[in-house]
Amino acid sequence: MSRAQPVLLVIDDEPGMLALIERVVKPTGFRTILHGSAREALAQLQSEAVDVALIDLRMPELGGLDVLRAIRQARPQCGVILMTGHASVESAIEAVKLGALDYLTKPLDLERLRHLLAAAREEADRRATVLAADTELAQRLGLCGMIGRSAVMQQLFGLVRRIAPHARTALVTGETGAGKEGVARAIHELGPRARKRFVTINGPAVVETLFESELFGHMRGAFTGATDNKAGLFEAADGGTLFLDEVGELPGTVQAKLLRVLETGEVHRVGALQPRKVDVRIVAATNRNLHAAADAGTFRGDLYYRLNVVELHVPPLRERREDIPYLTAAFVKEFAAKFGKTIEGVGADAEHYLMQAPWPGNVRELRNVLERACMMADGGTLTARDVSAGRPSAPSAAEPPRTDDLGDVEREHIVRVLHETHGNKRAAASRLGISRRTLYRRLERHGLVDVDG
Amino acid sequence: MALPPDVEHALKNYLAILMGFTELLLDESGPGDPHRADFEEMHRAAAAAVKLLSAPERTEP
Repeated sequence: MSRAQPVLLVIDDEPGMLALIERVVKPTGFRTILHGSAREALAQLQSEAVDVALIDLRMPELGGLDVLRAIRQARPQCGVILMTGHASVESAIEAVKLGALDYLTKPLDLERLRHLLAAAREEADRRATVLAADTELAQRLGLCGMIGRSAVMQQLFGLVRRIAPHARTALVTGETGAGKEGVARAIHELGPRARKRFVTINGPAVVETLFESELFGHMRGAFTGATDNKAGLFEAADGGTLFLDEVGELPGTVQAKLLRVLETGEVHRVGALQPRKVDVRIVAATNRNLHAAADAGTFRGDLYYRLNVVELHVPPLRERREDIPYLTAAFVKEFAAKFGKTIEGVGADAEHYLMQAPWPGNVRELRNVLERACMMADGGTLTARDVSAGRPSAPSAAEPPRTDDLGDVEREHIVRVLHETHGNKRAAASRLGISRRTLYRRLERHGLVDVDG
Repeated sequence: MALPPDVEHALKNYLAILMGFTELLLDESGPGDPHRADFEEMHRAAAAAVKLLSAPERTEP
């Protein structure tokens, strides 16, 4: 991976020490910026992309710990190594607490310094690679816009590539937000129908009584309000792919009709006597265990086996955490462009935070968190605070139960806003656009009287 | 003969520079280099001076 030389900033008030370090560092491939004055160096920090800083702890005008603090503020991704003539336990602990990479005593152990710089360089390179190569490298390893360098995703991509040219039906399983639609699109785009339409229908989003007409179309006068002949989504997707999201939520009557279409390749518009031939590839998706649902009788077993000819499982984000840096880089790039900001990426602390989070909402949640962080950020590098502000508190490892009940949605929303205002009901009411009195009434109604931050 | 802390600090700094450059010279000189023994003497002397400065009785007032 070609990239600009990494940059090492050295601050020491003793010119001989600067000269020595420059000599030691040269073979490690760093470009060195030498400074006898901490103030001058800090002024330059904004304009130079410094990767590592090597700082004398004891300097006349501005101490090394203050410089460390200033660097952590201005460039969180910059690694800092402190040097001192007197090793004191207190300052060493303080330095590590403030995020210093290491603490070297003078006379310097040159071998150790070389090792530290090599490690810091590797880290800087890795970060730069992730940032710069997200499009090139990750896309090469990705599939139709999906990013997945992890073994589980590479396996999934391999399976998609193999089945895409052939399968007439496929079932995509995985948790909410894991990227099931992306997989369905990839099957479409890699298949022989790529130039034809990809039509999506989301089970729960359609009113049950309208489902048949939505899917299969209707004839004029078939029911009240059917003022025209209308093609359904099956006909719209003719020759292409129909993506049935949340297929587990389909009402039983529609399940039966769907099975018939799959078996005969014909659709009946509601009210029509003659069936029409359609040639549609069906990709169904579900976050439920359809096998269990079929056993329990809530989903038609025959339909399940029809759909399940090929099953593609999209793993949850927590099972492929190694993809998080790449996903992060891609999303940050996307949203930085969208909001017109120069955001270089995420700092080490933010990356650590993102790697650790439970992500019950999977890739979609990560994307939302980064969208919000990019929207709020001033530019530069996103910190752990930026990204954690975008995540609702009290994360739960389990998948949040999906709810369409308006009351539940309201309850969840109120709880979230209250968390974000740290339990301040006046602030929460103002954000919710209701009076404090109304908020109290809602809280009581939802049994939330004791909720606070 | 306690040195003022500033002087002691500066002295240690200079010795560290001396030691560092001597180590570089040692790194660059091959095993058969005629100067090698000289560099080793320089390094030993500087290291001894640092050790003297860092001795516990020196840091006690």
